[in-house]
Amino acid sequence: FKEPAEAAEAEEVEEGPQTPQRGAARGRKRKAPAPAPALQPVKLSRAELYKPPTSEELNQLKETEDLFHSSLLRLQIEELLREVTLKETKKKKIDAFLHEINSLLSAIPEIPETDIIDQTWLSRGVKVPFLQVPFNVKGKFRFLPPAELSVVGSYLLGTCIKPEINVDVAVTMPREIFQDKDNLNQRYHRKRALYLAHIAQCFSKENLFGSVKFAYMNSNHLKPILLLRPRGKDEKLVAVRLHACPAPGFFKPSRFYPSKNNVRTAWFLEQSTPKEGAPEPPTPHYNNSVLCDTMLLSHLHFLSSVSTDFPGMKDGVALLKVWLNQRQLSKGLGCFNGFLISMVVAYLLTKRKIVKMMSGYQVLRNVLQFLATTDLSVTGISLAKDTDASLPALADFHQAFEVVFVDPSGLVNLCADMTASKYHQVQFEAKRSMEILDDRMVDGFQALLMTSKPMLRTFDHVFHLKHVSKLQSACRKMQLLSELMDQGGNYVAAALPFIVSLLTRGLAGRALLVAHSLPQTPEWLIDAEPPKHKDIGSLTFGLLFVPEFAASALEKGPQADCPEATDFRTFWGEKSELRRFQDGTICEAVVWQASTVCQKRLIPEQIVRHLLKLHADIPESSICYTGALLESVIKSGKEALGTGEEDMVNVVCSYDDLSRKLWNLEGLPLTVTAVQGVHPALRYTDVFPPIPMKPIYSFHNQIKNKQLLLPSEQKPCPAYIAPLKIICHMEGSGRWPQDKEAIKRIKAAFHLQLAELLQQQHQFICRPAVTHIDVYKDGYVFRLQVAYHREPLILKEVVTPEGMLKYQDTEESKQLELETLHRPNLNSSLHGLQQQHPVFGSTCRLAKRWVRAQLLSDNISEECVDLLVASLFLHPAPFMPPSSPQVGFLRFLNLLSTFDWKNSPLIVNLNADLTDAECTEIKNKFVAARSRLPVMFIATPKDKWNSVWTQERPSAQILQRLLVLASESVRTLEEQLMDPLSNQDVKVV
Amino acid sequence: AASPRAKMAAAEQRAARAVPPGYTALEVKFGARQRSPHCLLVKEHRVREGPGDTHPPQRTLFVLNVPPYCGPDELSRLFSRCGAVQTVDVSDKPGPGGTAGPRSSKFFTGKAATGFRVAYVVFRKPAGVQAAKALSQEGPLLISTESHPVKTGVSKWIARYAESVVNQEELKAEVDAFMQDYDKKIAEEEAKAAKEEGVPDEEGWVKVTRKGRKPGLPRTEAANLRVLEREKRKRARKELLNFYAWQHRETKREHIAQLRKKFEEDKQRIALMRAQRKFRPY
Repeated sequence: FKEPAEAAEAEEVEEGPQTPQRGAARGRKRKAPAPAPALQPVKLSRAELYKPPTSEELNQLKETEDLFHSSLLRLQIEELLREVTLKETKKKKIDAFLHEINSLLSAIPEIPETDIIDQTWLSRGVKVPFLQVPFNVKGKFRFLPPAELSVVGSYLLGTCIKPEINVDVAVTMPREIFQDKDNLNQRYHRKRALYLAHIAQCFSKENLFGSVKFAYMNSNHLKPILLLRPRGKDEKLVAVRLHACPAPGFFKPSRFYPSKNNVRTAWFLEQSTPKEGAPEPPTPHYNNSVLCDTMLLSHLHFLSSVSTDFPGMKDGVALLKVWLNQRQLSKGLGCFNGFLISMVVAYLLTKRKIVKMMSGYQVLRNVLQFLATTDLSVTGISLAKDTDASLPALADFHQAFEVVFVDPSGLVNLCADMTASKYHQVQFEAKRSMEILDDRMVDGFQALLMTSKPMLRTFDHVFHLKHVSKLQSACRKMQLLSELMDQGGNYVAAALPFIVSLLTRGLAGRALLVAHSLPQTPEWLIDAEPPKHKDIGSLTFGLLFVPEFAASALEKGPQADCPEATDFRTFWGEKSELRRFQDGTICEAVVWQASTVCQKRLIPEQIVRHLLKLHADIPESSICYTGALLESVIKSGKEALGTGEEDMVNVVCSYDDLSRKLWNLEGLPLTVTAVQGVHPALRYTDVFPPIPMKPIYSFHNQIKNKQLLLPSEQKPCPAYIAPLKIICHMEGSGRWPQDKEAIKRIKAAFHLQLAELLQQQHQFICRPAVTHIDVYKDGYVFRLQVAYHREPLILKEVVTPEGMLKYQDTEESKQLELETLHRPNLNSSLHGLQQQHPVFGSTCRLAKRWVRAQLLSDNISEECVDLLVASLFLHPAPFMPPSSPQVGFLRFLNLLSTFDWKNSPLIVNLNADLTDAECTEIKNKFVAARSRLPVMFIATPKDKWNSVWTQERPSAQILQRLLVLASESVRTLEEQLMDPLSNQDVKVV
Repeated sequence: AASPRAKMAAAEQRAARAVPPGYTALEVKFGARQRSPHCLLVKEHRVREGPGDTHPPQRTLFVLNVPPYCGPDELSRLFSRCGAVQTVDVSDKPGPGGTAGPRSSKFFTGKAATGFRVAYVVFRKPAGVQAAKALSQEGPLLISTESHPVKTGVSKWIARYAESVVNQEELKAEVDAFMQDYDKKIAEEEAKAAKEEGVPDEEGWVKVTRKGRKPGLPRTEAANLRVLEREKRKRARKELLNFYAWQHRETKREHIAQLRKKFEEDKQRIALMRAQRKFRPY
């Protein structure tokens, strides 16, 4: 398949884009990169196949048949789990490390009582890991060794997975540290931070640790934690996270009900006297953050009671964590983390949707099913068993939080920081995943657990807020003071839900999903200041469109006299205007300016910019919208207004007219049975479609007797008009000769006659030749070619010595079949695909443009590229079919670089004509005949075994080159598109 | 100034050395302005199998390495100084076929060869061949001269375009003539077949054709396969599958074997994927 040396080189190049850390880790393990072996058909001896089965084997075979679609899935899941779970030897090392930490912690010296704001006892090398805004706060702090130390979380439950092994240790602060009013005004949080700062100060001198760092728990800046890593080669292995938590029973839970206030406005705004009479707003998020700490231990006990005698839970949670990680849902503020997933499993167990007998795969399925069908932002759930009247009700939680999932104590909302949009994204992903699991045509394992879904490749349009500090003014504009207080001054967290709901309303109908990236803060060294809110970099939003409505230019509102009309008007601002519609009603409406298809695709951008400016005071300059950056490369012509999609439609219209005229042509001895286009412009995938041209007469010499315009040598060269090839099938008849030379003559005669008739009946300028006729119509040149369906067969005929007639492929017949059979079929299928997915053509054109820019267009057929792109639209799992050329192109590059061309065929199920069984058959035959098949194998319903478009090209070397180029291109492009600050230059193409 | 000349001399020597045995190198140049010449390799035409009438061995010069811009007209002009040239045949491969006989059709010819070709130059007198070989002593010959320029660039394209436009009447006439011949041929064959039908040959065999009262099966591979398939299906319909106990046992065994085989296949696939590190999710 490929030279060993080359394969090794390619692997090294492909390693390049990954993080250096991983590359190094891999590099050590892999000593000699051997060329990967190819699949061989399995050969089992007869004796082995038919030996009497043991009962155990029978059971196993039966089980895999019943529970999983195939044994492959079972084996794959087992392998994956083996890959991600922690090994026993490593566990021992971690345990030893934990013991040492334990002994060190109890030996930390006390410090005497001081005011909280007096932090002089802290050495210079350690900064308080807390944004102390406002700085002044009452209260005293002293350090006492922890009352209790316990390991909590996934490590004990055995559900922690690689690559980031975190061991959570809860450090209980003794009761003596606290004072009565510590629940107020972040006093508890400050003490917690100081406590950790002191521990960090002592630990920074210890030799045991490779690094001592601070981080925010789930990027929540009220909750700093201390990260400890062992010294030496295990540094990457584990991070021990110290959480400080209050002494049990110190805080009264009733003070922290979601409706209570614990942050005073006067303190927050640093006013000396509280305003009289104004009620204090509730601070649910603040309350929740304190309660979380008090519940650390009880949550652990709850989960460990759930996970006893339940081996499937461990596997299931590990799988779900991988699933979340691949979708970038498990990190950042308001993430759906592993702890939450374990709680969901526990909930389903109490509701008896899951039983302890279930395997990991079944747990995965049930949890996904539950997530897909339940909307926690509308109907929250609670783990609390008995309904205590004094506890807050679910409705109270719904009032305070967007997503509600109450813990067993009935006090804590586990999803407090999550936005409704994030939960909807989780729900959407779960729904999509269930569809994939039920679809037998898709490799569910690959799509669900092995494919990562970065935002750029998932969403059709992506835009960045370059400077999140602009959200401060947004908070002011939207009057979010109480939310700011609640979030402890974190304006990003305060404004995000409002901005997302604003966008969701503005894009309702157009967008299936409006999602945002989770704000993440990196860990920092203990001698550095804690990161500010603006340090989370840029915030990214992703839009997933409904292809039918995304580009509509009109936003129709309520009737002018309705009460909702004012609401509509305030929402859209000046853009809203009264319009009379065809049915006579007068409605409020917003009309967006867009003349071409590519501009229409950018209407969402106009909406986003307008709404953010109007309601959140975010200037257009700080929004970086990456929706159509790539489209400039397929613009043609001098004015470069459109991206040529309109031109393509004109071509197709003209062609349709011509084909109708051909059908109705009178005076032909045989009737026309089919007219089929074969030119790429007729399936909307020509990079630069032909533009109508009129000859400029002064540039030509007229030759009268032949009715010919000959270009003149002295004048400028006339414009080139690419001929559009059309195949015209004639009716079969006994009058067709059965000899190939004679057929050629008859076809030439037909060409002559067609030209004459077209000229007579429709006044087209025609120029017949032996193999075709050129018809000049509407400024285009159509190259018409007559075909007879039996001609390829006649070319194939061979008479054996016994007088038997045999059909054998010859060079000539193959060429003819390609031209008159396969290409027209492909054309009509892809034409249909374009009708379903309007951006198919543009994606194809981008892909072809890329191939040409890499100077490889001679080595890969256009049809092959078309089919590759078609597969993205027909088999998008785990994504949705692309609705913008950019995302389609990114996925094209990704497909090219990650598909396993050596061991699997790419099946493009055009028109869904292939059944499940046929796909399996194709795969099996492919494995059996691998060595004889082309390096790139693409099967379609009309061409299952031959892969006609990749027979000759690309060669193994070219394919290898193409893959390397694709993986490099996708890396560069994604970097450019994800980085809003640098100027974007899409120079890959 | 001396060194380029020395180099050129060296290059000439190299060219001379590269000539295969039996051939003589003739230097030609496209025009007067070109510096370095191109070599035509010429040889007296000799074939073992009897004297062909198109390329008589004594009078024919075999030319290798004919550049694409050098057509039959240019060649005949080049060699006309050695004696009157009778015909020039240019083809992409050496061999007797292809160019033999008068050209059958103006329109229905195969693809014109591209790139470097070979040519047969037939002189009227044998002396021409020797004279042509002697040309190697002279300086490079010019292919494109002022009196007969070879068209290049735009003018070449224009000429080619003008050439590509076919004369409709001529084409029609040719097609009609061919089809008349063809029809005549077919009619003759049919008449012959009709005459032979049902008439036994000298051993008494009667030829069965598709025509006549009892048409036989067509003798094609597809038809044969179809017959075999039909036979098979007929047999399968007659057979009882669940009659004997051993049949029942057999199907069960077969099922388990199938499962096992699939399991083995999957295992192999997994092993391969593991080798490729396919199970690292990120």
